[in-house]
Amino acid sequence: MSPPVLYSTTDSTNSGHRYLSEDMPVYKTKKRMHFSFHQSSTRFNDSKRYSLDRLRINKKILNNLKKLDQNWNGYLAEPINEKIIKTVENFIPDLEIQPQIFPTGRGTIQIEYYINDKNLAEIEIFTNEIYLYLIKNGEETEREIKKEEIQKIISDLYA
Amino acid sequence: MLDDYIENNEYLYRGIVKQLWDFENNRPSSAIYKDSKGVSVDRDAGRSERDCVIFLLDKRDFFAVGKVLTKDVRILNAVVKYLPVEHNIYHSEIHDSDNNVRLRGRKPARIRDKTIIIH
Repeated sequence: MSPPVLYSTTDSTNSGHRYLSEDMPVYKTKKRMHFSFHQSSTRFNDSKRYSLDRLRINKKILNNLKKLDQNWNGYLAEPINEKIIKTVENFIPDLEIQPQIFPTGRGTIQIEYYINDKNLAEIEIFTNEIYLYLIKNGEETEREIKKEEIQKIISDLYA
Repeated sequence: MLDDYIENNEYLYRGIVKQLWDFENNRPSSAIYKDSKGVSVDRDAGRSERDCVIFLLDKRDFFAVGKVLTKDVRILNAVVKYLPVEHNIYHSEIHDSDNNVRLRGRKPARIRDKTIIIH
């Protein structure tokens, strides 16, 4: 298993170490790596709130999902449905907090928000439905949702 | 020939590709347990952990390998079925229930939480 890269964030809104996928757009220097942040508004002062950098990363991830072939996960996974990729591409710029994005073996996309084990959301986008699994203050729910609900669900999660 | 019944104390092994690794939280996404045809796993069938991992990595250079106890899957009312295939006598599948193959919502997340990363 190739080890993930440990990096330090250096901007004013993030600190600490995280593990970073080699696929992420990181600019390497000789001894350290850093994200390139272009934040100029107070809207961007809260690291959990709107981040153009995270949006850029997510767009790149979505673009990479288009390249996944049959059996990409070693278990005969389906390629990711193009209509689903388009759906996610269309709504993520409107999200105030950017999620993590993962493909699934059934050709769908899962977006995830994780604060801690008692506050998280996993939203799976199918061609014909969107399914939510939510834990809010330790209370678990799961149900079908509409695309228009996602922003409010996430805002409530982080409230 | 292996016993059709998978014991509660058997581990189920699953290879994980890089696209399904959550680098922010240093663990796999629950998406590893989302498949429309049942989630393929290898039962240990009395093999050592090392042998199980080598068997998996021999097929593909997975980014990580995880294992979950059969009991921890059944406790969620998911179903573990032994379904050997050509070239893999250990092949088994996790289904949502006897009547429904597809896991979603709570079950994949809980199974991920119980998954131990060993490679």
